[in-house]
Amino acid sequence: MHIVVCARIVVDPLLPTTDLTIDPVRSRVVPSDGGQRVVNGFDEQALEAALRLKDENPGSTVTVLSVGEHVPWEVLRKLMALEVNDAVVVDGPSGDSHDSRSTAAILAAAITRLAQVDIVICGRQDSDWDNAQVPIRVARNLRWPCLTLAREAKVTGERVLVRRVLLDGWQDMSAKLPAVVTVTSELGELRYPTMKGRMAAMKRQPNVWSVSDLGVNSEESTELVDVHIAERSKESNCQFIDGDSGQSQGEQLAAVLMSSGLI
Amino acid sequence: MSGTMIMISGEDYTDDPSLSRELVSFARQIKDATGEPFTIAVVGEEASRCTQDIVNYGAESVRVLSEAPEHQLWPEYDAEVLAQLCNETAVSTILLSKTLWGTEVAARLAAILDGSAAMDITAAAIANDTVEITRATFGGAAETKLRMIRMPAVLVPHPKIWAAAEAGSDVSPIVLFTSQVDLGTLQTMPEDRHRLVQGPDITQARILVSGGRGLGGPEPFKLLEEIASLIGGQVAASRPPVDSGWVSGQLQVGLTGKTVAPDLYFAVGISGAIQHITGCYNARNIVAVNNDPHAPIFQYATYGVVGDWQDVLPSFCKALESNLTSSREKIH
Ligand SMILES: Cc1cc2nc3c(=O)[nH]c(=O)nc-3n(C[C@H](O)[C@H](O)[C@H](O)COP(=O)(O)OP(=O)(O)OC[C@H]3O[C@@H](n4cnc5c(N)ncnc54)[C@H](O)[C@@H]3O)c2cc1C
Ligand SMILES: Nc1ncnc2c1ncn2[C@@H]1O[C@H](COP(=O)(O)O)[C@@H](O)[C@H]1O
Repeated sequence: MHIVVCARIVVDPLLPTTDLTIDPVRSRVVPSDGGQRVVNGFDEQALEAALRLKDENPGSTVTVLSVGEHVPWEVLRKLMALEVNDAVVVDGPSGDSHDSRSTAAILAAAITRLAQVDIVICGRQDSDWDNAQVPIRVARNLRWPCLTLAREAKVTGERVLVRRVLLDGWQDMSAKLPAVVTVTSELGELRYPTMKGRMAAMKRQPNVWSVSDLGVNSEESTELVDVHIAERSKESNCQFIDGDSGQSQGEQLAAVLMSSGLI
Repeated sequence: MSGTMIMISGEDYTDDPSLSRELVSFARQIKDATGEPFTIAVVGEEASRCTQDIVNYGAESVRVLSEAPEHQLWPEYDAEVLAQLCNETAVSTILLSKTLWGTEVAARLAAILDGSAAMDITAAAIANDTVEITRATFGGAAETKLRMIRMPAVLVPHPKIWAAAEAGSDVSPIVLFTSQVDLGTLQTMPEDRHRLVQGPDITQARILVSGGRGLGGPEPFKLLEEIASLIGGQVAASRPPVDSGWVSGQLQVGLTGKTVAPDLYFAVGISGAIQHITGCYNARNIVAVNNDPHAPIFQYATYGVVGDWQDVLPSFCKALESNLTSSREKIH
């Protein structure tokens, strides 16, 4: 079985808002200190889903696929410390844009070029643009089924079965291969690499393709007019409840909230 | 520019009718700007109950799927059926709620109709020939303005931005529609569904007592439960407790959870990541209990306690209890 994991490089979603700024040339959010970006969290979990499938189906191969402008290999390479057979980077500005239509067209063309792909695993959304659209559009372009929000995925014969997360439980859903699957955080964290894996990853190189090579029409469905940092974190005016012990802080908190009429 | 279509799943409506009524306010804004009418389409489980409720909101018509497949929750089926309805009625904007169903069907419709879609919309400027929206991106850290180039534009508003519309007196006609979708062409197949007991809806609570990874396990949520019941609140959570299975997904507040705006929000052992804050920054008061004085949550908090919840909460709970008993004694 050939499994493709779509991994996007994003700004670290845990950076505080105050550490973010706008790159005026490219109209996008970047870390103020120019710091390193990371692999989208859900995409690491997509790789975990792929590795579990590989464990259950020995002989499978896993390819990591990332589209973007100047994808930082030193970031993506961390994934190569695990049981990943290949990495393909498709270079081009349109793959890194806010628009899911153009990104999906490039990913679908790359998957077609990879050939013999049985299953494509994606994250539920990327933490930069929070679109939650690319995998569904990729599937549409390929005319493949798309199963979403998997916390578990199994392949039996020609079908893939996922357990989809619902707010009040779950639903099992299946589709014939080849298929696109998206995973959600309930799937669990990506496993740790071994020291040996990490050493070996240092020597790995990606296959680099360019968007123009793929000859794909990556017309956008939306135009970016403006992006700026949200003014959400107002001046902090938190009233701290002090006390010489946790116990007295707890008592004081109750008193303050009761006297202010909040409870 | 031609009309707007609101799409509602009966099941989502039953969970939280106000989200659908927010879509009505959005549709009315578009109607005021363009003169174009809106219709409401209802599919899925409990559609008939929702339909009866939604007829008084000024829609040109309420379209209801006449028959549904045996599997009630089937986003691919719903999207195909709704796409067919859009093709029949030539809509240019489609509105859906930010629920798991709404966001998935939005993405599927944009793909099927080859239109455009945007989630987490906080403002919209819609004229007869342009659709321009502002949306939250980067987890809520950034605000992005987009012009929707391809039509239809599928729009998913951020919850609690548009006010829930009030019902009017005019009654919209209910018009059934039939599915032309050949089930044999669908590529996904729903199988077993497992439902937990439906919990309380955290989006309507006046007080929420929310716990995060700092609670360390499922057990401490009982203490939050106890506090919540003393002050007429409900328990909520950040994402890690949901991912770890400590609490149900219904309790998750944030970007991929629910959006809440209670009068009082307790954040216990929650660091205050932007993806969490996005779901609760409209709370009137936030009380943070965290043993890390540098936790970002304190930037958003009205009251802060720097300390271990294990030391702070028991005495807090006791103080509430004794206040309750003394006010009861006063009454007697
Ligand atoms: C695309 C995307 C979507 C996301 N969606 C959501 C979402 O919907 N909701 C959500 O919540 N998160 C979401 N997240 C995750 C988010 O980025 C954070 O990882 C998450 O909110 C952290 O949860 P937490 O604050 O409970 O845990 P942590 O960040 O680990 O914080 C735990 C806190 O507890 C404190 N603590 C530890 N022990 C104690 C103690 N004994 N007493 C008091 N305090 C203690 C620590 O100081 C720390 O501040 C999303 C992330 C991404 C990338
Ligand atoms: N540029 C990209 N390169 C590789 N995968 C991507 C890219 N953009 C999106 N994806 C995949 O699509 C998922 C959903 O992204 P989005 O629709 O942008 O929120 C991500 O979690 C990735 O798995």
